[in-house]
Amino acid sequence: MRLRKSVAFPFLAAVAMTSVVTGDTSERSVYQLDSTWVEDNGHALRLRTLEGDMQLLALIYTTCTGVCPITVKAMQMFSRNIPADIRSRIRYLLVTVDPEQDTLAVLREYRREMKLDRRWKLLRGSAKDVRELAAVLGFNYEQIESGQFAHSNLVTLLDGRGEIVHQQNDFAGNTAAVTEAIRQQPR
Amino acid sequence: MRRSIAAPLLVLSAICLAAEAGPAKPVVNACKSTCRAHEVFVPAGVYQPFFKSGIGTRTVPVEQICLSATPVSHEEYLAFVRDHPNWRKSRIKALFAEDSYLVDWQDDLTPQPALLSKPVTFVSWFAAGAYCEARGGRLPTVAEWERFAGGGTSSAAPGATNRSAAGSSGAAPFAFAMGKSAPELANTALTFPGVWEWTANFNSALVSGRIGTNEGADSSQFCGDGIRAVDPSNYGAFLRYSFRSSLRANFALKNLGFRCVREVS
Repeated sequence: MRLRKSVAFPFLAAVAMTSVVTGDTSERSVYQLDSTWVEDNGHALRLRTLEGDMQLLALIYTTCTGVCPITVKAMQMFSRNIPADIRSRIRYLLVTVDPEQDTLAVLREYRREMKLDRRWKLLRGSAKDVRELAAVLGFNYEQIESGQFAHSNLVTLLDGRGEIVHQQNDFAGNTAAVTEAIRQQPR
Repeated sequence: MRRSIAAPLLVLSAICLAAEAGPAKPVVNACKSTCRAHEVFVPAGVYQPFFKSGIGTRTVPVEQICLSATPVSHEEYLAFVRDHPNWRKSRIKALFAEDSYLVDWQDDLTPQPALLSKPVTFVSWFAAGAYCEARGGRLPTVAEWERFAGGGTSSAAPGATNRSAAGSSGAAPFAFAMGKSAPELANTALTFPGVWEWTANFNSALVSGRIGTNEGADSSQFCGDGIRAVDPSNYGAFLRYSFRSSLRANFALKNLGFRCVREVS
């Protein structure tokens, strides 16, 4: 009961049944997940619409006092200092694992606070869809008490088709690896 | 899907819950009666996570559920893939299941005849979840699974019991860790025929209780974390938690099956 209430986005009702997307999406593409998300600006987003640019993706929650702010800061530093040759090829994606607390308003505030520019998307989804995305990425998390999560510290690079091409859990200390991974992707 | 049918069910479930607060017996039976023939009613209760959360032990409330008495069989899974061609092994996408998906089936619709009534294995988390959803249910959460199949929670002395069970079972070497009815379900049809089982949130951060710093989990999942276990002698629980933590959602393994639960309504 409680769960149902916390994920009651009425517009999700039509798509809550996960099904395999057929079509020309790559077999390993994360974008096959047939889930609908909402950006902090209120726009609905299907993962497939992210096809094209590479995405640097992290799962976070805004009240995190541990690793997430460091990860986001590191991603931000990376986005600011990114070499010119790859700058335009990559976008940034933050997905909250705490949709209950991280409402769109909270996410908008987080965007302001962290000074995230338009290359960044902040996404909120149902608890079930977050769990599914996390499962695909190999991101583990668990709410251990109200407002706090134990979780992986994982940053993922998706290529233009949505396939995982690089992952690391020491991103904050080693952004060179991602730069290298991006360069290796064919244009 | 669940949400779209929620409204009419809410009414029933409110009755079920409200009634439960009153004199217990007849009501539990009323709730029980909503479970199907092959299901076992699991009353609401409390689950104590196996690992402390840094501050200390905690408990998680668990709602009442209808639980499949046995893991899903090859035969049942065959009926599912007949109706849902996308989950046939020739059609499945790599994201949703690795190559070993249903590897013991001759082809899309041919499991081994001798195994028909046995638990289906070589199924991924996605496939298991899709099956349950198609049957109006879902996979149990870790909390639910541990509560009904962990052999009892804090009060029991599972360590010694579990190990002796291991010796006597004669089945799979880890059968003692693969499920044992909670005491209150001991006289039900609930059975655990010796396979590991998927859970909805198998990918919970485990083992480490330290907030946000848990990616050391790989190295500390077995030995180092004993100190944070609520009951360090519960060897079976250690095995389950570390096994779950080693899984990826598209894994399809020989000893890994699943069963479904349905929310009581």
